[in-house]
Amino acid sequence: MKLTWRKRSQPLEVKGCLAEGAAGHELRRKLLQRGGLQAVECDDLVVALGEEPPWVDGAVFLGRKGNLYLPTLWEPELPISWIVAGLTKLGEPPWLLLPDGRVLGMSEAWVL
Amino acid sequence: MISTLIEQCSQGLVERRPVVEAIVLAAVAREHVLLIGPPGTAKSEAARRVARGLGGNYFEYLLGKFSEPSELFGPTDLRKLKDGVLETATDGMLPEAEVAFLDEVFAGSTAILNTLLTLLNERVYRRGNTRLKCPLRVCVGASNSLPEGESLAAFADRFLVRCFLHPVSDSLLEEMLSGGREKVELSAGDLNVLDELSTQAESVDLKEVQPILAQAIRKLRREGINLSDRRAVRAQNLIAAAAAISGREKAGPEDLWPLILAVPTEDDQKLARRCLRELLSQTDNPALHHLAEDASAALQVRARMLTEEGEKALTPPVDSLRVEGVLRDIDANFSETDLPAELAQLRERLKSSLS
Repeated sequence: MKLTWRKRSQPLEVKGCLAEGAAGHELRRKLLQRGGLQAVECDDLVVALGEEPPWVDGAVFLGRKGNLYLPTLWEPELPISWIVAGLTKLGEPPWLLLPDGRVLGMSEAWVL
Repeated sequence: MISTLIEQCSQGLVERRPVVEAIVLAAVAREHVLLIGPPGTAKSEAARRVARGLGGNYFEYLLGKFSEPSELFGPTDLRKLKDGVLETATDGMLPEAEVAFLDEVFAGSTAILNTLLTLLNERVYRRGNTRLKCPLRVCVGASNSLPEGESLAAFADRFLVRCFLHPVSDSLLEEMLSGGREKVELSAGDLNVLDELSTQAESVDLKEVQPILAQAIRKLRREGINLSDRRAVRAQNLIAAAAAISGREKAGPEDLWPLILAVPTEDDQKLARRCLRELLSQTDNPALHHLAEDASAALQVRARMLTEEGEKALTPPVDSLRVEGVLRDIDANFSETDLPAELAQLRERLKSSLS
């Protein structure tokens, strides 16, 4: 079943950001330069966690709802508890869920 | 004019701009403000600055268990007492103040609080042969916590606007430390400006907003939020003042947000913000956007705040981390399609300043 998304009436507070491609490289560079932030890398996607992640042009900012990291501006049309129940079988929380359907486990975020 | 006053009064007072805006809003509405928060959170400084910015006579006092009524209202006039007339010499005291700040306001004796109750409510001072019409525009009361018990509840209810203060956030400590050493030169304001706005507020047409206000009050009641009928009625003064400050003759859904300030407790204000989010989504106010954003989290006022923060961040010397912070807030709150044109242009300028 495909998960549909809608725009949030109120954006979430920033708890991280993700960037891909050139923006991902830039984010990685800033993370290494500043240090102290938790991050996850997967192929050319870089995710930084924290309330004040570096800004890079093209980054998607993330908020958190329970055990889910989500884009600040979008929300799935299913209740979060249902989604979390489904994700529990896949591994340890928290997870990052993106509108294009990708799910990334964030439990092994490390400090860059 | 009011925007400049607010800007000047908030200078160097980190995270206290909403308090400054709340006092100005209350002054225009002819209502009183209660600031609740721990000691050392710039409650008195914010009140003093607004008083200076608004102009007029200012009276400030720290109340205690042993404070005498004469310390607030003035001593007995001994010359007149010789003639058998009990009158109070009110020169320079609270009955003649146009703006007042009363610290530890609930610590006063029953005699003080009873007289204050009349003064705040009717703007009249009565004692013996003295009956004085008071020119008080706004009284700011401060306390570490809300009073418990029925006896003080009636008195506390006279303060329609409630602001809850907390120590400055960790991330803004550097700004607080440097701001705290800044010397702020505030020129004394002209009380006529305030009075003109108050007159305009009195004639604001509330017909359009009243059904929405009723709907909001019903929602608050359903959530178990305690908002007395008196507070609900008087909240209209704040709504009218918000409209007048925005230059509107008719109040609309964009002016509903001050209702949150009339909710008496901090927990209930938080709950009210959540349950009224949809109704407050059209909130806008060009001068009180920090307070309006706190109350409503609406995107229009958030865009105004970000524009202001972005312009400040671009003032030399440019701090790249500060610029990044504003860019982060813009991107986290607005999609490309929703970004207002002015903010989109500012975003480009902020980006260019980083390259």
